[in-house]
Amino acid sequence: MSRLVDTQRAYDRISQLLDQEMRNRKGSTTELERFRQTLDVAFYLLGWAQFEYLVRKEAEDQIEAKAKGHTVERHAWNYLKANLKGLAVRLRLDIIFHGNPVVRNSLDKDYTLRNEAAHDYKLPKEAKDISGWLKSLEKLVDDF
Amino acid sequence: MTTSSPTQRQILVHIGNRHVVFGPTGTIPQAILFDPTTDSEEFLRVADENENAENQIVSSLMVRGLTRLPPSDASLGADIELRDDSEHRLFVDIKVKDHDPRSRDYDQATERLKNAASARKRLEVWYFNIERLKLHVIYLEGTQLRFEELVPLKVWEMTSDGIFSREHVAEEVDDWLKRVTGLYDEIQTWLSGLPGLTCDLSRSVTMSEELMQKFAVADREIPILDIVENQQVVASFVPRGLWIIGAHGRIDVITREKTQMLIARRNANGFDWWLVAPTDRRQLALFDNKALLALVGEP
Repeated sequence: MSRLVDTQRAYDRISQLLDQEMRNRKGSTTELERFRQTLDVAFYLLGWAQFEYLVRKEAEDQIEAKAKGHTVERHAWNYLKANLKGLAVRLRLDIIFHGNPVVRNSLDKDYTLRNEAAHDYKLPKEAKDISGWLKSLEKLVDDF
Repeated sequence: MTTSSPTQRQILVHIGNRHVVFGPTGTIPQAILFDPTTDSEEFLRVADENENAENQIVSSLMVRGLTRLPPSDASLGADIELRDDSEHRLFVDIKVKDHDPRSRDYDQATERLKNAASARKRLEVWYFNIERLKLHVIYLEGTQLRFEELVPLKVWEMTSDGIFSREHVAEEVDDWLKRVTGLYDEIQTWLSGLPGLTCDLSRSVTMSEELMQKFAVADREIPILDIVENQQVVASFVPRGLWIIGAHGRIDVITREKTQMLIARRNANGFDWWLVAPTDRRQLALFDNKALLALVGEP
């Protein structure tokens, strides 16, 4: 179980508080909706940040394991290990999801959306259900 | 068409994957001079609509009735030059932003316009707000600084299925509003036999989804349905969005205990509403009279 579970639980709780404010007619609906949009974008980016960290760690573990092998490829893996810092997220995803191109392609698309959201603070429609989306990330991490 | 009046022009540009016709607002309605079937130039689709937007606008820009030329005077720093039938020339400096021009932008534009005027050239500065699809034209009339705002008269996108236009988006928004109010009518009918429960539609949320902004469809107010018992709201139906993955719209049902998603799915005759289980998004239950009564705590 990763930090993503805590993030999802925190999101659910705060989101529920906002919903109850909405139900109890406390404050303007426009303002509450704006709070919700801000909350959604913040947790979307936080979820991605946590997922990226886990992807980084997992890729490092896999590279390290392969660098310990006895085939000629271990030299290439060792080279990669020495240059881990510069390894882009997409390349790390390639390593982790090499055997699952469907997930790899979907994450690639998600990562593009994440980069856009980090600049324009707009949530892609793929992630409008933040709680469900955080849960799906956690499932991916479980399957690493 | 002459170069003299920004308020009579119609301008076609490509912004991202869209074709947008800008024209005057607040004047007598006029025919749109560009047509998707004849004026849709093929261009490469882009993933990021903001990337390279200025080059895209400069290279695609057309003004109906005026001829486009490469700028004949490089010292003005204009992006394009336009000429009318009487050989009057107009230089245009194009700026692309994701917001309306700010005071600093106006100051810089004023400086440029004055320099051009002292060189006896006609220059206009055009600010495209690509976020909200607006075109601000800044120019000098004599020595007087003038501003005009042009609005999108038509927006369309060429897709593999044909032309997808602003009208399609507006129709979908209208349909969503109809479906939401239709659901509310049904809920009121279901509750009509229950004393003590009343429905209140006095509140609303603003619908301003990304697709609406892209196609310059005005924001809409969508009603919230509150079910009230003893002056307390026992359930609020809050429309959250129309364009979501896997459904044709979502309303959140907020009760005292929890929030549940209600999603619309297409059936043979139209749409059904389904309640999504909070613990497992794949579990759906048809939203009917019985489900409503369970939500509001009635036997």
